[in-house]
Amino acid sequence: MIGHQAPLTGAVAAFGRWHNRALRAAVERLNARGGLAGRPVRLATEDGASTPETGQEAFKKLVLQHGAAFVIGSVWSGTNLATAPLARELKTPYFPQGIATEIVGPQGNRYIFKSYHTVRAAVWAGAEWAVQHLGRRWTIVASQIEFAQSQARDWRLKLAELGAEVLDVITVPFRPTDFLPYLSKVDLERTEVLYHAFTAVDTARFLQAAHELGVQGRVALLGLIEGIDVLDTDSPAFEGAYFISGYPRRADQVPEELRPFDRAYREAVGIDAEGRAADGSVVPIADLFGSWQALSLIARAVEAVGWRSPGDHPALIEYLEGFAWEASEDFPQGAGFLRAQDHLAFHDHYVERVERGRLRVLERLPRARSLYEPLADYTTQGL
Amino acid sequence: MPVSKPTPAPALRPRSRARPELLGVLLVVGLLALVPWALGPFERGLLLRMLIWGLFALSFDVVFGYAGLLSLGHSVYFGLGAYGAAWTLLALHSSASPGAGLGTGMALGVVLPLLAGLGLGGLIAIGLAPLLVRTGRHGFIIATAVTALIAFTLAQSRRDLTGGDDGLTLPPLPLALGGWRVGCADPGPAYGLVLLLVAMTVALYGAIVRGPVGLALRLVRENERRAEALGFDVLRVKALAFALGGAGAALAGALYALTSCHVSTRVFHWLVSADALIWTLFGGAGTLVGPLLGTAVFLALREGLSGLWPPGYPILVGLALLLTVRAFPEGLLGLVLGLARGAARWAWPGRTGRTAREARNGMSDGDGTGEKRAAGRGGAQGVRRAAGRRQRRF
Repeated sequence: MIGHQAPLTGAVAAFGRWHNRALRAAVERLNARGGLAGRPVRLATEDGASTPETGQEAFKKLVLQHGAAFVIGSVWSGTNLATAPLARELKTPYFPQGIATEIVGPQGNRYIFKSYHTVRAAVWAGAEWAVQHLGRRWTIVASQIEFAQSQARDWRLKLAELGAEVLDVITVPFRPTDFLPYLSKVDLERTEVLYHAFTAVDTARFLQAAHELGVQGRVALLGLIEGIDVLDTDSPAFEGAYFISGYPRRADQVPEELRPFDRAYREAVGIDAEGRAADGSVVPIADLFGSWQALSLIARAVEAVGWRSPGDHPALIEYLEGFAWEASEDFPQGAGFLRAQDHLAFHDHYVERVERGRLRVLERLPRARSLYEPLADYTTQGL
Repeated sequence: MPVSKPTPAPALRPRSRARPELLGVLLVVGLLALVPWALGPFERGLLLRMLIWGLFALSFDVVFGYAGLLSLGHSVYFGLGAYGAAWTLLALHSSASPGAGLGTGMALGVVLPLLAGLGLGGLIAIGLAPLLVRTGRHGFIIATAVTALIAFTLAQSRRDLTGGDDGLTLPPLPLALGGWRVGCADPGPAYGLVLLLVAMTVALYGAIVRGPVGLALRLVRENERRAEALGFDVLRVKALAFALGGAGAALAGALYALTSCHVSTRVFHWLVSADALIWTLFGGAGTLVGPLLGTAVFLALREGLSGLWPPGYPILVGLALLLTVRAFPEGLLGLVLGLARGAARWAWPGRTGRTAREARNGMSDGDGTGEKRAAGRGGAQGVRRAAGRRQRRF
C-alpha cells in the first residue's frame, strides 16, 4: 500500500490533484508490470488540505489506518516539515513534494527522501547563467510566504558568492490587493534583474502590474517555474520573462535523448505536447516528476533488496542512499542521483523564456551546477 | 439628567439541586478516560484533537454564546498559547542535560510550557479585554478581526521566532506512564493529561456560567440597557467573559502545540476563529456541551467523509452543517435533547423534559423559568432601588 498525502483542497489544491493523477497513472503502470514484491500496488489518498495540521492527520491516517508502507507527501512545505517527525516515529519512508530547502536540512531525518529539487538546488543551478546573461544588479520582490522567502534568502547567498549586488528585497503580503505600491519601490534606473517569487495567481498579477508599468524591456524578469506551473503564458504580461525549470513544458523543447520517455510519460499522465490536459488546463509537468519518480525509486529499491514488509525498511533506505539512475520510462526527467547525506535528488535544470506566448528553452543546466553543501547528514542517524 | 452611580449587582443565586445531567457528565468523562486505552493510536489521536479543539470552541462560546460577543480574534489567544508553550518547550529541550531524570524532565517539560502558554495568551486577553469591549457590538467584530490580522502579520514577519508558514518542529512532550512515552504520532499518556485539564476547565466554566456571573453574562447578552439599569457594569461583565474565553483558548493552544510536535503561524489566522464559530453553532451556542459535541461530530464527519470522496468531502460536510442548523436551530444539542424528551414522553407519558434553551440557561429549575424568575426578582428590586435613588436625588 502506497499512501498519498495530497492537498486536494486549499491553496495548492490544483497541484495536489495533478500529483494524485500522476501517481494513479504510475501505480497503474507498476501493476501492469506485476506490482511490487509480487503483490498489486494500491494507492490510498488522504486530503492534507494545504495545511500542516490536516496534513499531519492525513499522514497518520495513511500509515495507521490504511497501512501504507510508503507515503508520497504534500507539495505544501509546511506540511512536509510538520510530517517529518511523524515519519521518523512511525518509521515510514516519506517523499515530500514541497521544495523548501529546510526539508532536507536538520528538520528532516533519515526517513525523508526528496525525489525532486529544492529551492536552493534550483537557485544554485541557474544563478551563474542568470548573472552572466541577465545582469549583476538585482532587486528581489517576494511574497511573505515561506516558499518565496526561502528563494529570497538563497538568492542573496548565491549572488553574494558570485559577486552580484542585491539592491533591495521587497516583501509583499500574500495575495495583496494591489502590486503597484511594491513595484513602485523598485529602483528601475539601477536594477538589471527583477526576480519575483510568488505562487501562481500572485505571479500572474505581479507580471500584469509590471507590464502595465512598462517594466518589461527595462529589466529582465526572472522567477522559478513553480511560480507559473499551472498558468498559461499566452499573455502580453508574460512576454520575455525568464524562468528556471526542472523540465521543459513543451515536448518540442525536450532534449532529443529524453523524447521517447517524454512521450510515454505524457501519454500515461494525460498531458499533450504543449503541456496541457485534455480540458485545456496547464499541467505542472515538471513538478509531477517528484511523485512519479518517488514511486520509481520505491519500486527499484523494493526489487533490489527483496523488500517484503516494513521490517525491511532499513535495507531499503540504505539502498537508496546514493542511488543513481539513467533516463528511462521510470525516470523520464533524465539521469540523476540521490545524495546519500541529505537524500536529495539532483537532476538537470533549464532556463526557459516566454516568446510569442510559449516557453522556449534557452539553456540546459547540468545537475552538477545545482550541487550545494548538504545541510545535514542523515547517514549518521540510526534506523 | 444626572446619572446615578450604579448599585452593585443584586445577588442572584440560582437554585441548585441534584442534577441527573451530572451523572451523564461523569459517565461521558469516565468513558473518555477508559475507552481510548483500548483504541489504536490514530483513534486516540482523533479523540485528543476533539478534546483540544472542543475546549477551544467552548472558550469561544463563553464570549459568543454567553456574552453575545462575536470575536473573530479568538485565534490570537490560541496562537499565543501555542507559541508560548512551544518556545518554552524548545528552550527547555535545548538546555536539558542528557542525564536529567525523566521525573524532573516531566515536571519542567510539561508544567512550565503549559503555564507559559496559558500565561502569555491569558494575560494578553486580560490586557486587551477592557479596550476591545468598549468598541460596541459591531465594532467589536471588526476590532477583534483586526487583532487577528495584526497578530498573523506580525507572526509571519518574525520567521526567526515563529517559523512562518513552515512553523516550528517540536520534540514530543517529555511525559511517560510506566514505559509508555508520548510520541508525535501517538499521544499516549498525553491523552490523560489533556482529558484531565479539559474536564477541569469545563467544570470551572460550568461553575462560572451557572452562577451569578453566568446570569450577568446572559442578561448582558439579551439586553445591555436593561442589565445596566439593573446595576450591572456591562463593560466589566463583557471584559470578564472575554478574558475567561481568552484564557481557555490559550490553554487549548498550549495543549495543541505540546501534543502536535509542530506549530505554525496559521494558528493566528481569523479563519481558526471562524472554525470555532461553526463548531459552536453546529453543536449549540450558549451551552457548555454544545461546542464540545459540535467539534467532536464535525471532526468525526470530516474523517469519515474525507475517505468516501476525497476531493469533494468539504461540500458534504458543509451540507451536513447547513441541514443540521436549518432543521435544528439550537444545534446538535437541541436535536439530542429533543430526542431525549421524545423518549421520556414515550416512557413516562404526562411528564416533559427540558428544552435545549432551558438547558442553555442552565438554571435547572426543571421548567426553564429560573432565569426569568431570578431576573425578575433582581429586576424588580433594581427598579425599586433606582426609583428610590431618583426620589432621594430629586
